[in-house]
Amino acid sequence: MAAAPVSSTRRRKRFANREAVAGWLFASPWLIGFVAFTMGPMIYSILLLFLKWDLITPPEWGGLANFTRLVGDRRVPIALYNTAYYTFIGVPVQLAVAFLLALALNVQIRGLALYRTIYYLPSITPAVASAVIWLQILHTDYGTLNEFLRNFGIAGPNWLYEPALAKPALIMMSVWGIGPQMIIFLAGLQGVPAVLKEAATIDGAGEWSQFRHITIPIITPIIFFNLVVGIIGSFQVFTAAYIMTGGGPENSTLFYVLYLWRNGFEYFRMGYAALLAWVLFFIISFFTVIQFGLAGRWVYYEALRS
Amino acid sequence: MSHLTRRRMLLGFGAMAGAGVLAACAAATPAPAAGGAEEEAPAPAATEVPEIVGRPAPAGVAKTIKLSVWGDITDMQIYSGIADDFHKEQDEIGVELEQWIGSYYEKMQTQIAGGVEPDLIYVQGWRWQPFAERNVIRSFNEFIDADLPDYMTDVWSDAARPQTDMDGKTYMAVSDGGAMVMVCAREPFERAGLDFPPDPNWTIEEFTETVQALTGTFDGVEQWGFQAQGGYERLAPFIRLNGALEWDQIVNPRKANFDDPAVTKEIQLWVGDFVNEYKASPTPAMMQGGANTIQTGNVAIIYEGPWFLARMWGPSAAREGGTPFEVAPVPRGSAGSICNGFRHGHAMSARTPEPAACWELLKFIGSDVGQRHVSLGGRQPNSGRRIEEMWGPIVEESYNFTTSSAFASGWDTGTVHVISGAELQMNNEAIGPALDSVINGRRTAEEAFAEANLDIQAMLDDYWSELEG
Amino acid sequence: MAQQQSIKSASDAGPLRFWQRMSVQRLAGRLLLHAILILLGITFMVPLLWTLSTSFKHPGQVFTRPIQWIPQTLRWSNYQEVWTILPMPLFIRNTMVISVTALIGTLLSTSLCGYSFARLRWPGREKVFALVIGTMMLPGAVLLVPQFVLFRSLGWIDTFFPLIVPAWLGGGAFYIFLYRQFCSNIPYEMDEAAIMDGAGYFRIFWQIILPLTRPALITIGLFSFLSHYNDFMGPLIYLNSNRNYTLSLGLRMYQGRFGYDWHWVMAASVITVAPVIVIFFLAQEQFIAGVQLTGLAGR
Repeated sequence: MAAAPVSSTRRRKRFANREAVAGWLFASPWLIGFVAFTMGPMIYSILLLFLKWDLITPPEWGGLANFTRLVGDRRVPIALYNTAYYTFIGVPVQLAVAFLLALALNVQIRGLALYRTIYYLPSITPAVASAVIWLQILHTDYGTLNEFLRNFGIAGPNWLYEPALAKPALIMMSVWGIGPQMIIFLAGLQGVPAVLKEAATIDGAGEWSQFRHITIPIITPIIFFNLVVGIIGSFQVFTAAYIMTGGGPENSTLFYVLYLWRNGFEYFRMGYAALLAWVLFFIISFFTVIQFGLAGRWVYYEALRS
Repeated sequence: MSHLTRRRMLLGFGAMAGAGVLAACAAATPAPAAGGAEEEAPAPAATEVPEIVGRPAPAGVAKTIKLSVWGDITDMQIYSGIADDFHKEQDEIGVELEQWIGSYYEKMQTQIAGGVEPDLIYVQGWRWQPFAERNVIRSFNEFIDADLPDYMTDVWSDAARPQTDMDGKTYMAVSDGGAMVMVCAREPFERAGLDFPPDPNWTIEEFTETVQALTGTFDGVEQWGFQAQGGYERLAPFIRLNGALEWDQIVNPRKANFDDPAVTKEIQLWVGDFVNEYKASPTPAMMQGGANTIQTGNVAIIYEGPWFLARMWGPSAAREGGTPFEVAPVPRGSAGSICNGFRHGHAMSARTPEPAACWELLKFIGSDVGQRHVSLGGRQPNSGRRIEEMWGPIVEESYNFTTSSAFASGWDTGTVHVISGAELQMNNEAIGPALDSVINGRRTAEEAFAEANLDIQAMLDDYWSELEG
Repeated sequence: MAQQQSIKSASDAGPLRFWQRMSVQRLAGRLLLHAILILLGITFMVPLLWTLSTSFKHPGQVFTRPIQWIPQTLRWSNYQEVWTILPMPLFIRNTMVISVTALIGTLLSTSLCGYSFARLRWPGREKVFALVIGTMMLPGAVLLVPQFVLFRSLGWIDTFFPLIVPAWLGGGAFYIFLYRQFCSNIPYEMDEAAIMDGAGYFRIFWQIILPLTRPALITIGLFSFLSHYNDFMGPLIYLNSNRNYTLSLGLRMYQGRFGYDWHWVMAASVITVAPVIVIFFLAQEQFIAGVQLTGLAGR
């Protein structure tokens, strides 16, 4: 009998070892890909912080030149402000709309497939086409939006030509593109086990309490995902400004990554662009770490084992 | 149930994976290896590849030259035609075309960083200079000195030099370009009861009067005289009409003079006043998405280039039935009539192993045969003489107008906004935002540029200290 | 099986049974939901409707006021021109090869990795996962050129490999994170029971976890397919020969330097988008299958 605990510990250890080996093996595709394609360029981008690189000739030692440039760069605060504005107003609005739509489209109603497809359409319309149609919708005199506002006696503004309104206009546009978030929510909602709901119904729980106590907790990992990824992605917003506004009017849509892109590819300062990138990396990390830290309080995992 | 579904799913995946990988390999193999210009790629199945898809150089040639082509369909048509004719002409040198679409200069820089750039690179006359400063493109004076055919002597004219030369050496051969003119629509002139076409020798004052007389409601149509545009590139010639200059020099400036009263006065007129004071131009917000423009019939005059003519008349006109028009030179100021005379052409990679073969191809592109392809493809050819003799008749016929000579005179005197490695930054971050505020009527040009000029100067200083220090 | 049957019969029920089963309040709720969904849906359809309408227009009708939603004459020749001026069939083939091959790689590699991060315990897991998330936070613009140089040294320029191979090796942090989230909500008792039966981790992954995460797999597959299908920068940077070009590059060629030929751009857009709509329509049907599976599994 005395030997039994020892052997069971050993067995448990063996199991743990097996699990550890399996864990690394299962994760190996990403590890190999990371080492092969991403790690080198990432390390290189760290070296670039101290280099001057115009992309087309070999980099030169720049010492702290990139850092002193950053300290004196008045456009970085502007770009950061624009980006933070877009992120902290845009992401909550996008997620709220996506979540409500997903709830509405998770009900058994007729034409469900059609509705889902329609709400996903703007996300698959090519960016060029969306850009043109948005210019039409936001037109001061003939635009659909201002025509609509005119019904209520409101004279619509110059959406994309007022520095104060260009960012809200871009946020409004972004709401049309929430298809992916909606689909992720929908996939999460579909994953709520029917048995749990049935059990709750038998226990006499109303629809609201079912929703509040079963649906919401079970999809918190998905809400968490959309929030984390939404903020990471939104901090890197680029295309809308690159295609439609070019950062204007008066730098009001000069987003951080647009400014970074210009430094790297238009101003021949890839070293400085790398510094801007790593600054953004730490800003995003800050918000991401906070979110992971707070996750324990509200995100419910059935089986995430630590 | 779940087993069946899963098995089916897996089977499907397996089949797709197999097919996909096979197809990927099949598709990937015929592509020539990177940088292997010498290596001959097997010809793809000719039946499924239409004419304009870049073909590999014909087999058996001794040398292969790679050439980059701008991203429009018409450019690929032009250079496919040129390559075909070049192959017929001789059998020593083959041409391979690479078309770079959309973000052209990003692609160009990436190619150079990877050491896989083509031998001849298509560039705009004001964008290659940073590449020459860094010695990644080479001058080809030795070939010009030894072997300049007669038909190319007028390609490097005085007006072209700022866009082709740097520090006394030539880096770009002009292959096409665009001189800009005042495009005038007939109907608004007739509605307002003005003579059409306008006097080609008009002065700024006459132009201003005309524009105001064209603005208003005539026969129940609300129309504007002039379609003002707020971009610096197209504004530069107007600033200079009365002799002002917003830099110490156009090529590699060291000092910005945007706060000079003579400069802000012109900016105020062309960007601010036509829109906000005379109300003779729709605002940018009104024109957004193609409304209230010369193509919709309610603007009389726009400052545009040869690429715009197809919008006015012909099969792809922006209005059904087309918009009848003529063109006139930019109105004269005390310094004469000045317009943008954009040059585009080819620069030679410093790494090309075959500079002599590149020169042969450049001469062919610059010849009448090559320039006919350019003209027929809708681009403007490389000299004033060819614009008048070769291109003029073609466009007057296709676009139904009679005044194409305005383009030839613009070509011979045309200017360029500025040539500087700091151009994009100054334009994006300082000049552009300042012009935004002037065209929106929020600030006068004087106010906006008193502040912006400090920024512009700081960027110039920064650029030079980085380059020299 | 029974549950599945009941869902099916509910949706197939005739009008009479429909009325009987619904309380007035519930019916009113349904109608209101439809009304809201239709109204909102119209606004979401506007971009695509405009695209579709413009694709049939004469270039001179594109910007008429007020907007002409249905052109007087349908100009089918736009499609004929777009189809032949550039080799669209070739571009479609290239795009499909890239997107489908990458899709398979993404599904396999991200599910393996996501499973590991969610359900296996191994030393260093949290640190590696932080690294995975970290790769999402560095703007790709600074990695573009170093990566190009890397792929160039492998001789992969002007081939599909730089666009496909990364998908087979990890497939991107976004998808791994997404799969981990979905994976972490399946009760762990299922794994334990399987381990008791002597199943290895791969068998647990393959026979239990994969089927249960079907909605997630469909979602990831869809996103991966779309992102490769619509990718512009990747093909632009890595492909040089027209015969290797993709639909997104073709679309941009129609746009041209001054963005004028909208009738062509929009016809090309419709050609690009149509297959995606069909794929999406079919894929979203799979969500419903997902419910049944999860429902069964919970039992």
